[in-house]
Amino acid sequence: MITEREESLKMIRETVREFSRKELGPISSRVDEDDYFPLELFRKLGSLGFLGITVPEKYGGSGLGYEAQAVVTEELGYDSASFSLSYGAHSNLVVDSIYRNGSEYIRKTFLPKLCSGEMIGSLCLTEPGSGSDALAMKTHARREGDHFILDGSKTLITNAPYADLMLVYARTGESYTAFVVLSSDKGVSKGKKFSKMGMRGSPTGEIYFDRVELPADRVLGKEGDGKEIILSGLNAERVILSFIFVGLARKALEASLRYSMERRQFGRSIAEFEMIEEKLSNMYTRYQASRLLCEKALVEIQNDRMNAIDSAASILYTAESAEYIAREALQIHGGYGYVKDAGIERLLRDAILGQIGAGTTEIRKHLVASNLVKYFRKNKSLPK
Amino acid sequence: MESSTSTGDIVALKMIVMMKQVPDAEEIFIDPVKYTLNRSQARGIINPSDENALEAALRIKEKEGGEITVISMGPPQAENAIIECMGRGADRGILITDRVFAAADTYATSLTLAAAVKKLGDFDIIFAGESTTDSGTGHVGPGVAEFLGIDQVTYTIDTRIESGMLIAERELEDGIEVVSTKPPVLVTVLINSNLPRRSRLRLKVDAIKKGVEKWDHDTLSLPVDWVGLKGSPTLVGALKIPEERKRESRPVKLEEIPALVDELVKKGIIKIGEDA
Repeated sequence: MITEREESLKMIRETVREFSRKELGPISSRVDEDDYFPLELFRKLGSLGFLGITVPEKYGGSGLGYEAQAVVTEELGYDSASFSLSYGAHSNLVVDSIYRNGSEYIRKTFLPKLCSGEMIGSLCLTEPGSGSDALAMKTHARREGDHFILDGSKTLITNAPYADLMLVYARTGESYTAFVVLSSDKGVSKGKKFSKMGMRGSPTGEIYFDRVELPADRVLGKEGDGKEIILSGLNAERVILSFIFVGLARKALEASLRYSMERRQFGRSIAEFEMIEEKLSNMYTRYQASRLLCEKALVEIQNDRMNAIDSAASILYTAESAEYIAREALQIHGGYGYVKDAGIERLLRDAILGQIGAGTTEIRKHLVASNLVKYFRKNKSLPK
Repeated sequence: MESSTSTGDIVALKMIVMMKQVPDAEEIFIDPVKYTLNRSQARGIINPSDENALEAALRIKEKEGGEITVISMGPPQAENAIIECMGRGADRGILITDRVFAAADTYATSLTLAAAVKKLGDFDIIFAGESTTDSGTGHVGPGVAEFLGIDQVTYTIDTRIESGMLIAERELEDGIEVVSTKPPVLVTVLINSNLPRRSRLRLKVDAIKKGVEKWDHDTLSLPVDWVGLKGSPTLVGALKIPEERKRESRPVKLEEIPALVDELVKKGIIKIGEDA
């Protein structure tokens, strides 16, 4: 596995793990129970160099790659999937995209604050009437002289209640354009914070834009570039967010092993029963398969950010597997697993988001199959 | 002092931090059968007051500029602790490691570290933690200063540079003493005197690429019988756990107290009288 092979990635994993076990693990049930977003801890990720991990040092980042970001996401996901989701939304969906697509002005103005954690970012794509069919968005911006006027609303936005900076996609005539919008811009307002089934503690909310006047230099990339930014961003997002569920699955599997070895019924540990053995072996196999698939997707996305097949396939399989593994973990724990104190039921509630966020399982299947057909028609062979 | 200009301003301040890797006390447990300390599970960490020493050096570097070299004597695994120091902002790491240095007491350790400092060349300030959590003698910092024949300021809680002078606050039993001294000088730093920063990922990755220099006995060219166990005058005769005194208790009625006092006097547990 690539994330275990390289010395620097091993060190990054140890560093994140130490931080996460000491500072995030102990508060993770409170994060869930109270739907509490640990803002100061999040900002601390900035001082450690995690938030701008893929951004060069001259903009305040750490100058590392997607592999390093995946390792951070996985290790945070092990302790708190919701915290890791907020991390991924900020660090990958917003910070990485602003670096890759932003003008020098945008990079210099916003990246240092986003990398340090002084500013928190949200990516705004989903709208009340457009989820899977993202390009059917209604939010639009029209040019008026040297600036744009943005109108519309976005919903189910990760980090929205705390966001200082939003990367907003909007229609500009027939095409789409990405804008950098600040919560302090006139005409920006925030709706309610949603109370979710899982991923509690990762704040999700609504944002409204009412005649928001944006100078032309707030366009990310060029006017009309939005579609490609959305699609390439979604691919990277799917690969990185997969690692939340790799971490979650690892935690569920470790807890299941520990419990099934300790728990004795009918005079022996339940790990010796064949029906538990079947669960453990399936859980392990699907966990390892997920990891390998995600690591392959990491390599692919590093080379080609338009690779939709591997990125969709990795999160498709990993999210389904994490939900399966968390469900089996709960079953192995029996009554204790159903009680909140064990922390197992949270894994299942959190895992369910995996099949919904960053494209539903259904959309991912469509992406894999349709792109595969296209590829095969052209190349008469499978992608490598 | 070579690195000072005629006006006394220090240019390109050269700092050295002496650091030891110690087992994490939180991860040491007592063997339930043999009642000995089991360190095998414990991770190596930077000795806590050495973290404060490094932080003190980093704060001076931030204000005054300069360069920090971390030196450590220990087994090859101590490299991790040096990488961590470089991840926090130290520029260079040197691990003094050789089997002949093993089992050194504080005398031989100080001598070896002083030889390493000499080999490094000019320096302005050496920072060391006040003592280690795994032996706690507090000898090594002052020992190195003695071998180098330089001034030392111990028990510091804050240090800064003013017009080429090192200003240090020493925490003493009856107050805080402020000392001004001219580099080169060795400073020992008290535990918890500052909040050590965490390492930054990028710096750690760079540290791994840069690597830690390893110096062995040949590099330092010290006579073999000056170092390690041979160079250590300390002899540990024996190590014993004192036996716990047996305690007993019994209920005493108010009228029995005079008799109890007599009994305690008789057994020599308490004394009554002017010479008591």
